[in-house]
Amino acid sequence: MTIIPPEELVPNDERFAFLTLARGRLRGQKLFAAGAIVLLIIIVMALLAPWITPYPQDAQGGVDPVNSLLAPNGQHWFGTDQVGRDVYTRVVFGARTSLFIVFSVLSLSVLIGVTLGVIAGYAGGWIRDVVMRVTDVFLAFPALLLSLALCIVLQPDLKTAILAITVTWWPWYTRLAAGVAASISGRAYMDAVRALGISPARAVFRHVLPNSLTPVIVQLSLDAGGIILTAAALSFLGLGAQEPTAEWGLMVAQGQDLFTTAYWVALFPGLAILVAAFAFNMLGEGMRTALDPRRGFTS
Amino acid sequence: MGRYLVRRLAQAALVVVGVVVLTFVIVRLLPGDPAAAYAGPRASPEDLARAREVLGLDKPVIVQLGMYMSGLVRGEWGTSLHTRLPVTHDLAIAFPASLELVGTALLFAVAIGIPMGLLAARFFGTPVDGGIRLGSMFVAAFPVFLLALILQNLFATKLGWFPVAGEYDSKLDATSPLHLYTNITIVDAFITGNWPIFLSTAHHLILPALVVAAYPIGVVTQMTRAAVSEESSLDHARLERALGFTPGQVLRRFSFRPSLNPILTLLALVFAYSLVNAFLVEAIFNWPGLGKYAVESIRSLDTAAVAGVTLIVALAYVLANLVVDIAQTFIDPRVRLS
Amino acid sequence: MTAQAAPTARPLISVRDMRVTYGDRLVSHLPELDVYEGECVALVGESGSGKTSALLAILGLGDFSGAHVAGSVLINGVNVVDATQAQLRRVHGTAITLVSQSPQAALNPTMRLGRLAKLALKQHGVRGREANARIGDALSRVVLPNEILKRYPHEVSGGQAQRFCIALAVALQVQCIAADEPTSALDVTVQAEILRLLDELRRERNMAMVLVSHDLALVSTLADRIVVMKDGEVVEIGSRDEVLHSPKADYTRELLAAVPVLGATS
Repeated sequence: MTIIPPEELVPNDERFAFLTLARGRLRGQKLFAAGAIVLLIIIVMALLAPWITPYPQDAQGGVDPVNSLLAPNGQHWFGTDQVGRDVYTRVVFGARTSLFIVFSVLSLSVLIGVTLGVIAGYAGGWIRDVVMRVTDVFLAFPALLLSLALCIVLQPDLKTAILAITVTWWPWYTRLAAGVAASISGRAYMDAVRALGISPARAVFRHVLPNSLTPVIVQLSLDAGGIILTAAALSFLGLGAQEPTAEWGLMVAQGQDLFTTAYWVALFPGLAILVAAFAFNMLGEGMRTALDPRRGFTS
Repeated sequence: MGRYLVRRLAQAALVVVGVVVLTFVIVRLLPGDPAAAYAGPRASPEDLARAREVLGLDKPVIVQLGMYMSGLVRGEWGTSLHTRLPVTHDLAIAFPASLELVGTALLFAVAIGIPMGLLAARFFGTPVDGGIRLGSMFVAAFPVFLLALILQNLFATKLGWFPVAGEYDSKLDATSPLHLYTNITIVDAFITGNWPIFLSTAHHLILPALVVAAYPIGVVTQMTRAAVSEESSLDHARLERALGFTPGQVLRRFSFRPSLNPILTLLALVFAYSLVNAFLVEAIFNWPGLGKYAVESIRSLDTAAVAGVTLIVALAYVLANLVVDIAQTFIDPRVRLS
Repeated sequence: MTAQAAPTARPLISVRDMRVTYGDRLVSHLPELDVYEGECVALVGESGSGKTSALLAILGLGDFSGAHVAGSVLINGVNVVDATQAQLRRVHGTAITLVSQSPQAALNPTMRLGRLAKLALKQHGVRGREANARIGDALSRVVLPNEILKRYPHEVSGGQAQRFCIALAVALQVQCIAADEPTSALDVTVQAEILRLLDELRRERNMAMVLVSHDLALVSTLADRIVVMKDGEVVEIGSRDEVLHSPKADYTRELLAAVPVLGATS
């Protein structure tokens, strides 16, 4: 095997490829931009929720039965629900809940998953095998199913839902991290690195990690969309956030029987889920296309 | 080839064991006393003690696990709290109904997704491609329960083109009763020539199957597009062009088959994902499948039933993966080597 | 070597002001090149010189990896740079075909070799008994057993795969072979055999060849004319003897000096 100097393994200007999305014309950039803009709007609105909504108390337990089931109008852009709460306000506050869930699940999954994966990859041998088998078992359960089972067994509420979803999501990151760690600790690579006088730490931090960052970031973005859908499905079944929290899935569940007469109660939170998931998908797909290594153009 | 098969089966068996263990762990996490549930609300202390003995709760956890596993193998999956019937009996009715729904959805996914993906690959980089990509992403991001509500409301309740709920017109049970072989209604109706039920089931299937098919259509389109266009940029595609084949032929004849690998792998994943997505759809369309059973079990905290559902879905997924892996060895000769 | 280019008829391939660009970078520029029946023209240079891009553009497949081709490349009266699919049909597999650098990668991994051969011939209207006969003859000409037709590309050696690709060209009875580093991925002993095969075929069937290589030694055994390229531009063009023994450009001299000569001391 020819020994390739690590500098050539990852040409400098490609290491932080995902940053190049900010400059220059790239394929997939429109997609990425569209997703990024929508997400930015959602995040900003979620952060400013108490100040930009007309009836913030409706998201925290306030009710107004006199005004129940009003169709969308000037005072209530998205109408009101069965107990008179402003749907628009609750949808905006719902963004907070959803973003919180996504952030929690992803951080926890990455933390647990990557740690386990790195240990498995470096240790090798039977440790790695055991970890991989365990990962296989968890991956054998479709995401929603495991979360469902866990939520039933434990008290159904927002924290349980986050835990349950995390339990289903960490295996992917373990796989990813284990693969990277294994390739680092592979003998040929390490010999090459040592022979060239570069410390292993430097090799990892300056070369392997940045190069593996891009697929992880793409994966994170696509996962975010999946997490939103899973969380919404759990709440729809009553297993996630509970009343009076404003959560999109829960709101759709509350509005489902009214769909024919008062469509707005379920439709707008449902559309919010769609827009958020779609935006994350566009972001991830846009990144993936832009960073797709073009077929080598050699002469 | 034989060795690959053996290795693959051994791997699957290990995963199955792991799945059972995990399910056992989840079921044991249940707060509350299984003995009390077993013995009933009016049990005496002696009844409880006996229940504890029968359930093996006084034995070490490992032994309990062993008892659980051997029970499963013997077909004793417990009794459902809300139907009062053996869980295996409930599953034997519910699972085929879910298969019916998901199977149809996957058929839709393949019939629509693959041609769309091929079309996008053929016109790679053009607005046609862009439109298809956007459409597939949109459809894959659509929350399944919202889609179910919208379609049900629009096409069934308002327009009346399709039935609102159910698997088939229950009145037909009296006029042309169905003989069950596979427990899959539409299949049994077909093989026994029971056309009234066949048509009614088909009519009832369309809306819910379309809803369940949305996500698969989206991802199958994307995967087909990616795999086929990747394949047709490879060296062999270049030679095929140089030999005189048109880009269209290179796509359909030469790039499609090598791309089947990732597409099939995706289908196995999608199958499991859709099986669970279907739960939500079944709840809304009142489809008598696993979903309905699971939702009712959730409401009554029926852990044996939930464990049963969990197990059977996970097992189905393991099986689907196995089938796909084996199919791949037939489709792609390179796989046999590994 | 064959008769030097005494142009009896029109050239088979006629290139005028061909430019291959990738984005806004000019990758390859061929101002003028004519290839006549039966002659072998070699494009030589280091990696990055634009020779492979030029070859692919001549084949009419310059846009395969996203490049843009401008100018005129006439083959059998068709300008492959902007030809329609129907027009390209008259060129690909009839006038010219490709022998690639990695033969096993160039063959469809899920198709048996025999099936590919049959389909290729069928594409050009040759079926049934005639197709079988042509394939059989081609295989024996490249010294491959008939039973190789049952194999998949990953089941044969590199040398066998390359012979098969050449057999395809023979069975299709093309007028010109475009060869992209046809031996660089093969073992040294196999290289010589493949080169000899190509040379024999050329003489027997009066087949033209456009050959790309970084190896001047290899080229010296096959080529009638040599085109030296550097950084996308043509540095020198002339007959084999001229270029090898009395090169005009400095770069050519550098290339020649770099060729290792067995037994030499300098």
